[in-house]
Amino acid sequence: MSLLKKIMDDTSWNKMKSGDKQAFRLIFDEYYSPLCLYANSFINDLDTAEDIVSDFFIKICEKRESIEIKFSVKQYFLFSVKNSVYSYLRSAANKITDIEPILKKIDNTPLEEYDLEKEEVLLQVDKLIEKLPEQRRKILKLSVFERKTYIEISEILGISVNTVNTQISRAYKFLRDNLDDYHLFLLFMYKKSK
Amino acid sequence: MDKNKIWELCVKDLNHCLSEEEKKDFNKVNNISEFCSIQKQVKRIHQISSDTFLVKKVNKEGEWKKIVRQIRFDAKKTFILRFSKYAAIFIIALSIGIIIPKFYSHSSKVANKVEMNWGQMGKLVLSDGTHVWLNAGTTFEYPSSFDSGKRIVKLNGEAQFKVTKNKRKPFEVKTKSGIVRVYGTTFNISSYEDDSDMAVTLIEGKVTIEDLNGKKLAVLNPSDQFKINKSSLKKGLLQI
Repeated sequence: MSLLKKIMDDTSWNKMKSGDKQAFRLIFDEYYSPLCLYANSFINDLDTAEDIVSDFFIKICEKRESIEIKFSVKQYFLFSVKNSVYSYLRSAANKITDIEPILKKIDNTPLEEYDLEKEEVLLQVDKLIEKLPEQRRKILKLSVFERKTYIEISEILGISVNTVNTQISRAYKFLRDNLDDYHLFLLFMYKKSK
Repeated sequence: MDKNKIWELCVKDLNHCLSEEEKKDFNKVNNISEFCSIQKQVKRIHQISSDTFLVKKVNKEGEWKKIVRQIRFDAKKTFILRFSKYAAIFIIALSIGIIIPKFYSHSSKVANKVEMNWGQMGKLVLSDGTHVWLNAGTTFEYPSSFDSGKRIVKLNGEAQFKVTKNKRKPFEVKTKSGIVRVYGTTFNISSYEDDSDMAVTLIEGKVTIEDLNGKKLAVLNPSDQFKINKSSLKKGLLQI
């Protein structure tokens, strides 16, 4: 995270603390969707993830005067939402019966390794996905979003599993090459340095 | 094996579509130097594209409207409201605290023991109102009532505590490698017998950690995590 981003976050947070609703909206705009995706990455239930994050925003708003952020707004938010997911899993409202693998996943995902993607970035990626050939895009969506297996996809579209495999692999490569061009993702820096 | 093949295997693995034979291949390439970076890239792309599809489903504006209905931005009013709420709780608690002990001055002090099997989790509310969430494989001992000057419980395993505030009766969690003392706060302790480390993570409030002889090891602030190695007694404090 850039220092500038941190300073902007801190400024908005301090403004919000002193009762600036506009600043609260800024923070909400910046973090609401990414935090929902973060919570969803564990429980795989977007509606519940949204509830958890909405409750979190209500809570920080109510308690804003007593909350002291030590390091960064982003880390504090990630940490709090992670704890809310914990509490949800342990509460009566939880409909997931087998929570062990989820708890394991939460424990194995250090906060500093989780990248919260900004909404604008994701919208740019969306435009990129739109550029894929139609069939490949369809296959990618079925796989990544609807979590269908290669076999299921091959049955749905009436193509061979091998084709599905090649198409998905190519779609990923297309994204890798083009995301790199966008200079959006620091991750790919080390590839260049090699 | 060429990069292309590794790439394909990583993608397949992420989508849980590896065949038995491919699984063997996958395990073989694990130690190739390029494997790690390829796998990282694939994972990242998987997450970004899945988030891209998902983000369109998030009902941000609708939730914003809901939130705005529930919050206030009039700082002064909320302060008084909040203060009166605490004052009321304080007065009620104080009067109960004075009246009840008069009636039950000889209440029982039986120690209770709870054991969570593996694959089992549980929640307890102690007599002082403290909430305890117990993780699997945890043993927890607590008295039915806290009569002495301290609220002492014993833990072997992992638990999250939401401790009811009581400045005069500190809440102490005894583990094999140290004592965590708090007054009113939320925190998590992981101290399994067969784990080499004990970790204490503070969520809100303040806690102090002492070794078994009462020597102060650390004072935690929210989002601090304290770790101690049981055998080497190496300590560390990090922010998470």
